Amino acid sequence: MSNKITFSDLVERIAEETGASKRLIHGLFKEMVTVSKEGLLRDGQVYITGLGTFKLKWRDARQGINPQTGEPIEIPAQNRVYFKPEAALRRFINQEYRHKKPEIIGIDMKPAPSMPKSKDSFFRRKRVTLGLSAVLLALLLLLLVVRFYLFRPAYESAPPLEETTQPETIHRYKIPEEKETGKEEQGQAAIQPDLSPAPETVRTSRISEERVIEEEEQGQAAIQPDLSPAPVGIPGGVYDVQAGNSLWSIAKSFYTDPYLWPNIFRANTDVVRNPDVLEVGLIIQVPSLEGTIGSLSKNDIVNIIDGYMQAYLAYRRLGKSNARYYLWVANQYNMPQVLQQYEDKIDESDRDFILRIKGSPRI
Amino acid sequence: MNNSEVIKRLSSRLVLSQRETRRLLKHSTEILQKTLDRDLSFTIPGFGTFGTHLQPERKAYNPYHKTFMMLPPKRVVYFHPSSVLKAHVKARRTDNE
Repeated sequence: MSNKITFSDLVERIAEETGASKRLIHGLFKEMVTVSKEGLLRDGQVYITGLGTFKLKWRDARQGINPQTGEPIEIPAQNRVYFKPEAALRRFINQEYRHKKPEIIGIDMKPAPSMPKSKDSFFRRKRVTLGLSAVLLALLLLLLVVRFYLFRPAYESAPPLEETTQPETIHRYKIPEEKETGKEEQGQAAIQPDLSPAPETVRTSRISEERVIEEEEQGQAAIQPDLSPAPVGIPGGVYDVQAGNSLWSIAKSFYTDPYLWPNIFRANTDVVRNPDVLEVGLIIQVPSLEGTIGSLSKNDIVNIIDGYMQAYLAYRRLGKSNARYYLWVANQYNMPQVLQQYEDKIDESDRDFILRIKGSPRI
Repeated sequence: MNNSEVIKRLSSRLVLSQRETRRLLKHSTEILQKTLDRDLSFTIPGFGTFGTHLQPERKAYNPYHKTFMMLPPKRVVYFHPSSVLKAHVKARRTDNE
């Protein structure tokens, strides 16, 4: 409770400050009160600079309880005075808290046990929706991982599917090694009709990227074989970002699997700050893969985990709340020795979040 | 009623120039602000009591981010109208609603 200062002390201080007589200041306040009453009765509202707005509000009659006797009493309809301090005054008295900002404290599950006690159903509903959205997100991620683990072997066991899903970039990247550019054109022409039933959007984007890759190939036909260390695997290269490209689409055109985009991001963290934003004309290094999609080598997986961790750290730096899911994916590869080097960079709340997801390996 | 009209009426009642009234009122409210800032409450007779209290740090649901947020502590100015003022404005104004 704050201490009180008497009105006469206040008047004395103001008189000192302004050089006016105490009598005048007394009069000033007295008249201010009278004028304020006039204003309240006339307009229902008075604004005094330095203090704020005084407003009248009509309150309907309501039932009340006499706090001393506990018996119900009728509170008649009446005007009440409400005061709103002006913004400058609020700022002035809050100077010591000026640097503090509201902070997101995330989906906090801790208060959950104490919550059912409260009768506030609104709050409980919110909790349910929060829980539901968390479950939905987890499901989405599960799908992502199921795709990683289940469908990859399926690619291998089902060659016809592989033919249709793997674009011709791989074939064409092998061709420079053979140095038979003439056959490339024919091969491409032969494959092109097979792709025609593919969805329109996919095809057009692929063709536009092909054009770029072709241009690159012409310039780098000699370098290309050197960039792919192993005979099997997917060669990388450099890529000139066009309008409409994303790491996702680049990963799709190089690796056929767009989910490997963090592998590209990892190699370009010095030029790409935000994985969601690529500048047109940026030269992106696309690392090669030792294995193929479906049978990645151990080094590839280490690199991909590294990529997901870089993505996690980047999103974390950008303050995105979904950053933790990239950490989760990195963790799903179940190679804690790789995550060890990021030990001190992982946020505690994210770690907790991941550990709460059932079936997650320990970080 | 806005501030300039308050000053106009005050100056005519106090028989002072508007400029002088404005200066006096400005200095007065400045001192009132400083008093509030020093965590002191005061009463203007016939009007009401001003004071501050500390609203502690609290957790609130942010419907936009759909998460809980920790809101920083802040000080809030309160005004309790005196019984004289309450009685004066109690009756329903004819143009109200």
